[in-house]
Order: sequence, then structure tokens, then C-alpha cells
Amino acid sequence: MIKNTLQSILCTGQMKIGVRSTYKGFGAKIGNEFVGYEIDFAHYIAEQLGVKPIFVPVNIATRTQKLIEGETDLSLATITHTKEREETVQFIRPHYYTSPTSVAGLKTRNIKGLNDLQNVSLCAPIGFYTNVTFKQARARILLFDNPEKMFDALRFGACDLVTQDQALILVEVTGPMAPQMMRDRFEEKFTFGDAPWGMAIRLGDKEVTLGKALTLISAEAHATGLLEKFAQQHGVLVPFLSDQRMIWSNTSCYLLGGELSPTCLMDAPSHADSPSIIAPLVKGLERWFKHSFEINLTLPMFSGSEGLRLLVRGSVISLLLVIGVIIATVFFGITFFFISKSRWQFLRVTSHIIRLIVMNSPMILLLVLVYLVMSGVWVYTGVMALITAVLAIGLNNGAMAGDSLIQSGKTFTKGTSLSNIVRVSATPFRASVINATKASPVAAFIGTPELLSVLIDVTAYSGERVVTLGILTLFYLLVVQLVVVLSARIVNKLNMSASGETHV
Amino acid sequence: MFDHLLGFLNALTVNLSIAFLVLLVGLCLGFVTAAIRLMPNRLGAQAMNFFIGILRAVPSYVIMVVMAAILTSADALGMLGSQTAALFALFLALLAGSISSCSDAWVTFLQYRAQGRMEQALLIVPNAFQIFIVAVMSSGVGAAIGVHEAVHYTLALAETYESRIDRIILVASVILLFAAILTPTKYLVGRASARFLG
Repeated sequence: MIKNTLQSILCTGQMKIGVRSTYKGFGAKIGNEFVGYEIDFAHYIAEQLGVKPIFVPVNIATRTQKLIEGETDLSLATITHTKEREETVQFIRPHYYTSPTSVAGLKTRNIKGLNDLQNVSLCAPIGFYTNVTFKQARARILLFDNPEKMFDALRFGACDLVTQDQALILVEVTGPMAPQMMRDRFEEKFTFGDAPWGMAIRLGDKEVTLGKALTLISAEAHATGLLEKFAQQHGVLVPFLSDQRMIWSNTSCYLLGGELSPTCLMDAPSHADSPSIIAPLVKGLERWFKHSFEINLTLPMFSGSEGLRLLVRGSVISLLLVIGVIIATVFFGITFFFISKSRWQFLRVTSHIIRLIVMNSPMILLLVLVYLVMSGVWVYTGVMALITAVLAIGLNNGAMAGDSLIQSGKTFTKGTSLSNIVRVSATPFRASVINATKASPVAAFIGTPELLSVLIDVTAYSGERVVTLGILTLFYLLVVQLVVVLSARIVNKLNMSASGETHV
Repeated sequence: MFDHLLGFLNALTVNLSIAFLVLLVGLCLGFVTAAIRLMPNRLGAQAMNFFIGILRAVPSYVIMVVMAAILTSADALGMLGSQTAALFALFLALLAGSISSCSDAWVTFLQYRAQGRMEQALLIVPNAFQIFIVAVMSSGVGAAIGVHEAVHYTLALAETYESRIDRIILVASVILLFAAILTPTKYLVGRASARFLG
């Protein structure tokens, strides 16, 4: 006879509970012991069911996956309850906690709200439900799936700001339990969007007894003030829990038949990307992969309307960027060559010095220098970021292309045509153009909304990484190969026309 | 001022160390790949040429971002701190370019050597130096993932300046410093190679 999950738990006397192991205050593994607010609650649930809790460490990426695959019976792992997540798991209400999203950073940085995030580097957890908001604010997002590494990165200056649930920011960065060194340097800048946290079970357990049992245990734990007590023991904020205690102490929240009154329960917010025009096709493809190869393929950049819009825009901007840097490289290369032939010595010397400096400058520094100058003169928009990148990358590679022309020019007599000189220096000149193409993704560093930035942003809110990064690599591989092939054809044509001239 | 210069030079050692390591590993793996490319077995040679072509074509910045994403997520590498993971991602990104360049340099070396033209074969020495210089300059992209190298140091210092002009002056000064270090070095190595090769 097939047992439901509750029957299995009761028969085996064990309940496998997915918990966090690196989330201080809520679920952390210290030595061989799990400690935290969620751990205490998990112990309480197991006690109420009369079974032994088996803790299974999970992270953001694995907490629902392990539940669905049956490795855990319950996930009590800082999961924000959203409408979209209800498609894959069932959440237990009443919720056991709620937390807004917090943004913290160096005390010296003047950041007051989402409007100040443009081009600011922000360390964020991968798949964090509010990352789409940061993307819309044009922050430069660095992704982490382990809070320890993320706060480590903040401490070492890899990013200006960090975002997480306020609960964790308080414990790790700004609150009284945070290390003194962190509290001295960082502060909370702003918070937004309070969202409830829920225990998750499999969808199949929705209508059967495990869901009901957990619902009643949760309501009872609120009503008796037990959750408030657990939270206090671990330095977790309690105002929400105090409110919930008041709510669930009221008998009007309990209906006949063991149901809870919907008026006493909180609704889940929605942070979804609406389906794109090709979403049904994409979902079909995902199902086919799952069915045929047992591969969980997810394509949020095609199935979500915002994801698809960003992908198309990013691809177009990347191609414009590549075309732009190639034109700029050729332009600067030829310009440096002509200036080197100028009759004015001052011009020749100045051009020579600029060429040497630009050639020997790390690309990122040159990019930042041009960015600082351009953003000081004009309002810094996506188009301006694109122009800035084209200028900086074109200048850097154009200086090298110009150098190759100048060196070749020295071997010719005065009056030799430019096409002849270009033909002789074709190999290094072509290398400069290919290098410019390869350097184009660096534009993401100054906020150019090209494909790399876009796909990182899609990853940030969708949590999907493998396919996204695969698409990114393949795109640039193909673009560079295209430039390699096309430039080789041009060089061949130049050589053929030259040999034709010689033959005549 | 002096402290900042010292801090910068200290950070520059990270660029130099990583570039040296990239060159060293690149030379070793480049030799192996070059030997395979010159093997009589056409299938093996073509497969290796294809592989080197891919390494040559993928932008190092993209490799670095992809590697950083993988290294921060892999449970097996959970023991790596963010700094080590970032350094490793940068190393792998630069290594791709280094292997392809070193492989090309070794192919040229082996071909000239087979023809008994040792002087031309020894062009591998200035080529290796050129690969090292490219790696030093490219290592600046590590700033994007938080590697504590010279560009990161400069940008972090610039962040502390309120005025845009001060930031521009700082970044421009560091660019000049790079040019002041690399231009004469390249020139001297070029001269030495020319003399050495006759």
C-alpha cells in the first residue's frame, strides 16, 4: 500500500527536514550541531509529530529541488513565499517569519534608495526574488549562492553594496550580533518589500494530512508565543511574531473542521516575469528535454517577457558594440598613421606619446578613464555607455593597429598608397580588430547593457546559470569566429587584388 | 601619497605573479598541444587545432565571468574564499589565451628547429615575454570580480575621492605609470632579442 508523506514519517519515526547551514540566526551548522530559529522550530515540529528530525543541509539552489526529489519531507530554509513558487511547492500558512529586502554598504557611500543604484556594484544572492528590482534600477550585480562568500566579498571590497533579507543583514553586517568590524564599516542603506517566509512541502502533500498537521502546529506555535521565544533566543527580530501571536490567540481565526480563517492569513506577493510571446513553445521544449533526456532545462531568458526583451536588446547592443569597436579600431589606427606623417612635429610627438600610453594601459583603466570623462560631460545613459565603450576599446586597439601601420610604412618609400601599407601590415592590423572584438564584453564593467550584463541580470532573478552562461559563451565564440573569417576574407581580397596589379 | 604608491606596487605584484604563473602553465600546456598539432595523426592534430581555435576565440572576460559564477556555486569548492575563487577564475581566463598563444609559439619553434634554423626558433623567447606582458595587462579585468590587483586597488582608491577631477587624475596617473613601466621594458627586451638573434 502506498503511504502518504505523513504516514511514511510516522512509520519510520524520522522526518527529513531541509535546513540552511550558513544562515546565522536561522540555520547554521556549528561543529556537528545545527542551531538557529528555524532549527528550534524544526525540533518542535518533530516533537509534536513524535518523530526524530534528520537535518539535511540545503542552499538556495537545492532547497526546493531536494524536496521535490524526495530527499527531504519538509523544507524549513528561509524560503520567501511568492505566487510563482506555489507552482512547484506548497507553502504552509500561517507563515513563520517575514522580512523586507535590505541593502547595506559602506558608511561612506551616499546611497538612499533604488534610484541611487545605477552602475553601483551590488553583491546579491543568486535567484533572489527582488533581483529583478535591482536590475531595473541598473545596478551592476555580482552573484553568490553562499551568504558567507557574499559577505566576504563585501568585506574585501568586491562590491559597494550587499543585499539580502533584512534578517540576515542584521545578523551578519549591521545588527548587534554582527562582527564589530562589519558594524564599524557598514550600515543599512534602505529596505523595501516585506515578504513572508513559509515552510514548503511537496504539492502532493497539499490536500493530505502533512500539510494540515503543519498548518495547525504553526498556528499553535504562534498562539503560544513559542516562535517568538525561539526568535529571541537567536537574536532574530520579533515584531512580526508578536503580531502573529496576537492574531492566532484569537479564536475567531479557527474555523470548524480544523480550517483556518483566510482573513487571518497573509497572501504571498508576486514577483514574476510575465510569460513571453514564445513561452508556450519554450515550456514545451523544457518538458521535452525533461521527458526525453531527464534534463531539467530552464530557459527564463526565453520564457519570461522581461527576460526575452533583455536578451534581444542585449544581443542587438552586443552586435552594435562589436561593429562599433571594429570601426573605431580601424579609424583610430588610420588616424594615428596619418598623424605620424604630419609635417608638424608637435602633432607627431603628441600622437606618438598618446599611442604609447594607450597601448600600454590596462583596458579596464582606460575604460574607466573615458567613462569618468564622458559621464562628467553628458548624462550617463545606456547609449552613452555604449559610445564610451566603443571609444575606449577602439582607442586601445586602434593604437596597436596604428603602430603596425606605422612600422610597415617605414619600409615603403614616400607616396606609397595606404592600401599597400595596410596589405603589408594585414596580420597585426587584423589581430587588432579581432582583439577589439574579444575585448568588447569588458564594456559590461561600465554598465553597457550588452549581452553579458543582460544574461547576468537574467541569472540574478531567475537563478538559472548553466544554460545562460552557455548561451553567453557560444554567442561570443560565434561573433569572434565571424570576425576572424570575415577579416581573413578581406585580407585575402587585398592580397589578391595586389597580386593582380603586380601581374598586370 | 607614498603609502598609496606602496599599496599600488604591492597590488601590482598580484598582476605580475598571476601573469608569471599563467605564462608558466601556458608554456607547459602549450608545448603539449603544439606537439599534438604537429603529429602525423591528422585527426588528433585537427582536433587540437580546433580546441586551440576555441581557446583563441573566447574572450577572456567572458571566461572569467563564467568561471567566477561556477566557482562561487560549486559545492565542491565551498572551502574557497571569495578572493581565492576570484583569483582562480582570473587565472583560468588568462590561461585560455596563454595556452593558445604559447601553443602557436611552440609550433613555430618546433617547425624552425626541424629545419635547423635555431636563430628563428629562438624567437620563442621574445614571444613568451610578449605573452607575459599581455597577461599582466589583461589581469586588470580581475577588478570586475574583486581580485585585489593593481587596477582594483586604483579603482577602490578612486572611490574614496569625492571629486571627479581627482578620480580622473588618479586613473590617468596610474595609466601613465603602466606606460612608464611597460614601454621601456618592451623596448629593452626588443633590443636584447634583436642583439641575441643577431
